[in-house]
Amino acid sequence: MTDESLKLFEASAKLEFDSDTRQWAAGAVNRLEESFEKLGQVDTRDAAPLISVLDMRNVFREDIAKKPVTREELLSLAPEEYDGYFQVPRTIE
Amino acid sequence: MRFMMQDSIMAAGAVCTAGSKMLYNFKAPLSATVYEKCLKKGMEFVGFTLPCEFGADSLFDSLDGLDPAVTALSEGRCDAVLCNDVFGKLRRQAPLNGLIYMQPAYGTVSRYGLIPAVSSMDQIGVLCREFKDGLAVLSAISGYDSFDGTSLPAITYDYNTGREREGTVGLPGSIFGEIRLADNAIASEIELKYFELLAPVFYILACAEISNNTTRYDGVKFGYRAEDAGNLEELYIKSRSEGFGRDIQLASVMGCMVLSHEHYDGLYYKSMQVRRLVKEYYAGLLEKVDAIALPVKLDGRGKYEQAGLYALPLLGGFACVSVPYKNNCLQFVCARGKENAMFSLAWEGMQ
Repeated sequence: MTDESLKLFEASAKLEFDSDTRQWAAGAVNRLEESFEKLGQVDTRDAAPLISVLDMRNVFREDIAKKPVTREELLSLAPEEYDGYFQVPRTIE
Repeated sequence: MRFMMQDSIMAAGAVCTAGSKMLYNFKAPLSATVYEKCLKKGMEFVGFTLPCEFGADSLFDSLDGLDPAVTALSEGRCDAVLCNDVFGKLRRQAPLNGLIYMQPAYGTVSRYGLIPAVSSMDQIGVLCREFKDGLAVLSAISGYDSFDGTSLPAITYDYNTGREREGTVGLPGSIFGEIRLADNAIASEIELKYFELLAPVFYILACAEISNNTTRYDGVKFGYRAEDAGNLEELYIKSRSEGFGRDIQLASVMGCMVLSHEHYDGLYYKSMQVRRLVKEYYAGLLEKVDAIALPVKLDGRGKYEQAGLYALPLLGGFACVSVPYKNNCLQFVCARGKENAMFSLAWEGMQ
């Protein structure tokens, strides 16, 4: 994993490593990548991907109204709120 | 019965951090189903133990401090701790400290109110000192919950078992040398197929899921928000970079890598296919024996090389229990429906 690739994936993850962390991360990823290569040797032509270990499809619960968490309760958890909305820094320059 | 919970399981009104600075001030807006069920059974809640961040302790290093849940139980502060042990820390540390860790099969216990880390493998289990306490708590928290889409339809779970039942234990000769089993266990040699692939598959899937599950932490809706962000993009990046520890940050970055266009087929999709092979092979094996026994650590191997031991039950959604057993520390793994036979086999061999 090059520094450039790592920076690209940091950006995707909305993160930014400092130089020490990036060096540590590159070492860790490179060590793992060697073992990831083993997967390429496995014949998986007839294997469908396993998305869940349970054979359940279309899970619904009965359509009975229950008390939801309220808008006020959720907004009380926000770092900043204004007039019933989440408040963030200016988004249009 | 006094119980504690890891601080990743919610009790309404109490701060729930999942061990992360990102959630340092997050007051749970609801209570987990397992918490409500324990209270309903008359159990007394005595507090939280702090897990490592999202349970992913030193995912990329070899450091491994003693889990506070193990300390709390060893000091007698409670009789059981409800935990989520995706990365195997508790299954490793519990028997080494004379304790037991019981992990139910996926879908058995509701995860409603558990802060997710690796959704396809998250499962609340029980850390305990006494087998009977663990079984009582596990019976109390198991069962269908309409609030969890992965909860299996109504089945009554009763883990009230004795220790005398006879059963067959699959032993992988490739890992064990000589091992002494209790009188109720009949040994059967098994092949630990795919073992070297379990760690890479687990890491790839775990990182992808951690990456997805942590996107909700953006400094906007709840939890930590960085100061002095000039715009929204900067707010996301600064909040996440300051709020997460480096293991979770790297897991998120690796998750983006394995899910990227360049690596999706070769890593993520391939891992899901290999997971299918692993599940089918071990499900077949677990039809022939009552349980498989594995050590809880492999001497001379690093943390990553041992990850397969803890990944095996999770990749297949199997139940397991870690116990101090005779002169060893073992993790028994079984298929859903065979838990009581497995518990009996493990219990009989306890020191």
